[in-house]
Amino acid sequence: MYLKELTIDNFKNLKHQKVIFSAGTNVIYGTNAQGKSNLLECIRILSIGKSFRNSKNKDMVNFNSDYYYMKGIFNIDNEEITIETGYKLNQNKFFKVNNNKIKSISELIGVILTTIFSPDDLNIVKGSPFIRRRYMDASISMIKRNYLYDIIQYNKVLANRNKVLKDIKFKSENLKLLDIMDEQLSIFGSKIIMYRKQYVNNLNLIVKKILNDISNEEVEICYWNNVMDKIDDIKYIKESLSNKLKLNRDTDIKYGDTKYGPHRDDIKIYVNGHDSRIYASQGQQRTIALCLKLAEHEMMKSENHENPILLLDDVMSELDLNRRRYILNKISGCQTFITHTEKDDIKGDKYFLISDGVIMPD
Amino acid sequence: MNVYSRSLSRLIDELSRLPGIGRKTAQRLAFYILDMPKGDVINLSNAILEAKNNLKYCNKCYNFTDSDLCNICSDETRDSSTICVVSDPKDVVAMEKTREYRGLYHVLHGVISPMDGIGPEDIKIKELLERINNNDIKEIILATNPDIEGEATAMYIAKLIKPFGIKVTRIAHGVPVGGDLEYTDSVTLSRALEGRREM
Repeated sequence: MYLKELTIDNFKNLKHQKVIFSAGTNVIYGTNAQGKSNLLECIRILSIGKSFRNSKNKDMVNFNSDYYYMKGIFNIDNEEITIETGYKLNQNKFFKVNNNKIKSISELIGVILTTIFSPDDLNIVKGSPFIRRRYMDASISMIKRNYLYDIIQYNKVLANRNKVLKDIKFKSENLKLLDIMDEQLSIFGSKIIMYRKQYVNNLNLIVKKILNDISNEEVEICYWNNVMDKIDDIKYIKESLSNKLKLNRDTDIKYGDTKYGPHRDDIKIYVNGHDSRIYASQGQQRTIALCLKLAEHEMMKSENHENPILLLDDVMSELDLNRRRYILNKISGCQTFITHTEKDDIKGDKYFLISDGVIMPD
Repeated sequence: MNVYSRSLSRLIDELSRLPGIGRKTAQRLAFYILDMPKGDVINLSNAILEAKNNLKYCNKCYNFTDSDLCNICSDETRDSSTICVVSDPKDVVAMEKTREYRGLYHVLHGVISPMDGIGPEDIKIKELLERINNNDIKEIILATNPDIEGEATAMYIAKLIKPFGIKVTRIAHGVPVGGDLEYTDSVTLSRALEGRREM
């Protein structure tokens, strides 16, 4: 799949314009603060509905305007798909696929596949478990469509359970209700654990292979959860989570919070046997983050039998020449958008100079 | 400046408080009402008042009725040993349209939703248990919506009824009849797969 044509209107500093891209490598160059990343952000929003920089809608509107709008015409197997989105201050954001308004974002996810590489990826290795869970959730929901539904349901039940825990001091009949919440939590929780376990297992294999090509370090990626060590059968996970919830109920009531379950999950990454979060150097962390992203890209590619669109936001400048070459080789065959400050450094099919929010093809 | 006279704008205000009716529709309805013959308008306003004054909960199933027992509960040809539990009076209408179900109903008037502050004691669960206690019931069909809250309510009731030794069933969910498989969303489809049966 590739993005053929993009129309942007008032998205951050990008004013009204229409750009036609190459199906190969598109190099977006320009000095700092001209709007390079904003362009990638646009494409990412058309793919997963939200920004990779976690910006709020109102912050994405151009300062001199009260709305933003964008439309992408994509080509999937020689068929055209149009995706539009727009937002007006104080109104709801809308999405349209082929001119039809969609009701929920889950209808959008999975239509256009993108992988984004950005300097923030370093946080997957370095940051808190929350960031790794978010990384898992984003990648798995691109591959498994039901995963997103299960996560949303799980979070609803979790919120309900925590509310029941907090209210129990005043309502003793809530104890019976807690049984129900435990049951629901273990149904959705066990599914999520199963999905994540499978995902991280695959991730581990692919990252090992990639890392083997670019470095001589040993890496081990493990899925960590507080429910069960050995994960094979969904029935046992469900039982185990249900038991843990029951046994820990008194403490949960005391703190008004649920201790066990996949909302406390993490991915542990070991380099040469040591926890990479603490012991790996900045360079090692960066390399692993890159491998994680490349692996995510590979999995998306093989699960969907379709080449995702690649968005490389300012990652080239951080890599040495060897790794740069390796990556460009690894991702060949996909439509790619690379932002960079210099034009000459990178081989591309089409070059765009971006200056003060205006995109000009060379 | 207000373009409407005072009584007209009051009518529009009142109408626009109804669900599904915005400012524009309210205005359209208001002008329509003004064009209606006076007799019709009196009929309409009387119908509203009468419904509000006379309608109450059925003593048995808590559906809306204008006598002590609703039409369904007082119908002796119906199977009084089966109760279908629904969350809203609207759901009774939907179930009745099937013309398949010949048992009785129990309307909960809500679902358990801790986040909205609605607990088991806020809906008609206690009343359901009383009914089961005082009558000879053979089966309870749980027909709440297949969302988190509806599911929690069904599970909660099932747990309470189990000790009575009564058969408790839950309505199936899956692919809509007459629908195209290819247009069914993936979540529904995988639920349908989970609930598949042998032929």
